Amino acid sequence: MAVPGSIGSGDGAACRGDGILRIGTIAVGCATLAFSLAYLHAIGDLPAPLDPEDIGPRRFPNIIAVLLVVLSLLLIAEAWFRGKGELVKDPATWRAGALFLLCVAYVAAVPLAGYLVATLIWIAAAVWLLGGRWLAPVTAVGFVAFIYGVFEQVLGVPVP
Amino acid sequence: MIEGLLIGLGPVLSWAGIAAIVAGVAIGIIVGALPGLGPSLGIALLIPLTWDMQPAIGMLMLISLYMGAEYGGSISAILISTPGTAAATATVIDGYALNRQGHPGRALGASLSASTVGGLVGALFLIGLAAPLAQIALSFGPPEYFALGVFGLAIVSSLSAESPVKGWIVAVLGLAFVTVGVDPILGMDRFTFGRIELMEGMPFLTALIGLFAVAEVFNMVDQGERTQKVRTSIASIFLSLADLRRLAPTMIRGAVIGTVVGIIPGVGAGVGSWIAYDQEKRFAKHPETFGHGAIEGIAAPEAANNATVGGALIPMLALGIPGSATTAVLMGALIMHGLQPGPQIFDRAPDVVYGLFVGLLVSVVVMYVLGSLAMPIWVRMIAVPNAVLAPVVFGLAMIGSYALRNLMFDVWLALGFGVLGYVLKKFSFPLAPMILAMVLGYMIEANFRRSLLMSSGSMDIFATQPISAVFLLLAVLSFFWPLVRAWQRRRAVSPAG
Repeated sequence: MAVPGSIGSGDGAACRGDGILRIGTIAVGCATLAFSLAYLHAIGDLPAPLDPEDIGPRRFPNIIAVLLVVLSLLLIAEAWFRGKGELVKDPATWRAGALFLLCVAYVAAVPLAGYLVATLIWIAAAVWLLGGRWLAPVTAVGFVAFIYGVFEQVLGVPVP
Repeated sequence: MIEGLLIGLGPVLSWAGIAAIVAGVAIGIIVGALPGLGPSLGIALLIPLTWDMQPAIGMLMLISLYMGAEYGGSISAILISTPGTAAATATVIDGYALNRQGHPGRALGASLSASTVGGLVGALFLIGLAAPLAQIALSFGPPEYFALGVFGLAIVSSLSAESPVKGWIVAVLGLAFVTVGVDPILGMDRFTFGRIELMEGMPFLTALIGLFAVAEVFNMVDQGERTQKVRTSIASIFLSLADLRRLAPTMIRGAVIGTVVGIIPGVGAGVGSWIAYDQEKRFAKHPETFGHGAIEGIAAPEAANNATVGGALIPMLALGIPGSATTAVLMGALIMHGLQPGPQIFDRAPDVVYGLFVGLLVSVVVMYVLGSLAMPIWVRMIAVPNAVLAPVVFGLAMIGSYALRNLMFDVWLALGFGVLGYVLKKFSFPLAPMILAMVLGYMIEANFRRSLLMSSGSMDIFATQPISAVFLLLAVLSFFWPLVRAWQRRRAVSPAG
């Protein structure tokens, strides 16, 4: 039986990344399985039906939970038995991960530093780090001016 | 009908209405032309902006964006061989080939003319079919709505996925998210974990902003910068009379295919444009020219993808079920403006519905004018680097998710949905089934339970009501159809290989 994550003998570009797709699919399947079990557990806290003719608040979530368990197992099985592909490192994912951390820092900073200041710094930093260089200050100032002028003043959209 | 259209003229011909249509089309062309962004993302980001507007004006802006984006996708498809939207993928084949042969203007002209014809045909079908369909739907009760919801979900979760299991699992996850909040019959809390922010349910628009906009930001960073050079000097994009005459039947065929595909719940422009391309190639006098810059290969898919806009609005307005992923987002906008999509909307908000009918026609004309006169602007827009685009889209997503309820909780939630959307997309899971499940989930559960209350708990009610039985049968067929097709393909391949 194939071991998930093993490095296969992928021949060429067509197989590159297939290993990652397969492991990722199995990982999503495991995460969904864990979610569905937690969901099933949480259903236990819901009240029983009050009206004997109503199926109550539990039945529909129960159907969903059972479907999720079955589909997660199907997904894992489907990916497990699929042909192995070459396992390649994906540097792009690290860039997305780094940007995610930057986004978390930004959202956390907004209530502390104020929206305009946090946004000005964040946009400039993100554009710079993504390789925009000289565009960083221009984009940051332009964006904040646009949000303040058009969104807040003209359209009355609330900003944090 | 005439009376309704006259009511619709009111908001469309106001200054605010015209400004909304022009702005919507312009923003639409830009988000359509920029690879990665698309109509769903554009609308999700723009919805909070319409918060303060009259519903009719706000919705005019959003459907104009939808129309503009379906055309805008072809600009990058033709010029840099990268479809701006999924629906412009078929346009790349002959559009880019014609551009490489030195005729970018002719390719862009074919796309604009076809998009215009497609948009008009789709809008006319909408005007002709939506109101009569809504009249029929007025007689629907809970069993029919339950069956309709199941049909909408069955078709999308099976058709949109390369692996049906991936489509189904994403749809069921969406259904699970819908169960958060107040129970539809008893009014008790479910899965809120004491968070007051979740009492009204998982905020749909916040989830959309996360799944479409935030996930796309991470995706853009993953892909790095586009390296193709954009040709910015384009002589003229007006087609010759001979070309127009030659393309007329192609455009009409593509438009009708696009409209019909648009009407099918959950199946949007992406599928419509491929079917139109395939049909055109099959019936062409010179099919060998397809793939080598055949102008019909541009006109057919482009007419189809703009026609799906009108088509997809038909089930959304008449039945309250989305015709495409983008109309699912539009339904979120209607709900935010306090309007429940479905047959009653024709009586409750005639200015909005008929405004959309007239506005869609006007948006097509505006699209043609802006598309032909401002082409240098749209072409330059493609050159905006991802390094600028990604932070700006995240900044807009943050404002959008906050503005809906003024809660930082929603910003965190959008970020969470963004990560979920990114991971799912990375491993080839389709996102459209989740959005549709989130739209249809409440309708399915509430009407399932109401039906059982009506029948004293007997499931027979779904089989004995003819309309409900037909929809459930269609749901079963559309659920199993991809499996049958996959099995047939495997059988066809195995003797050869």
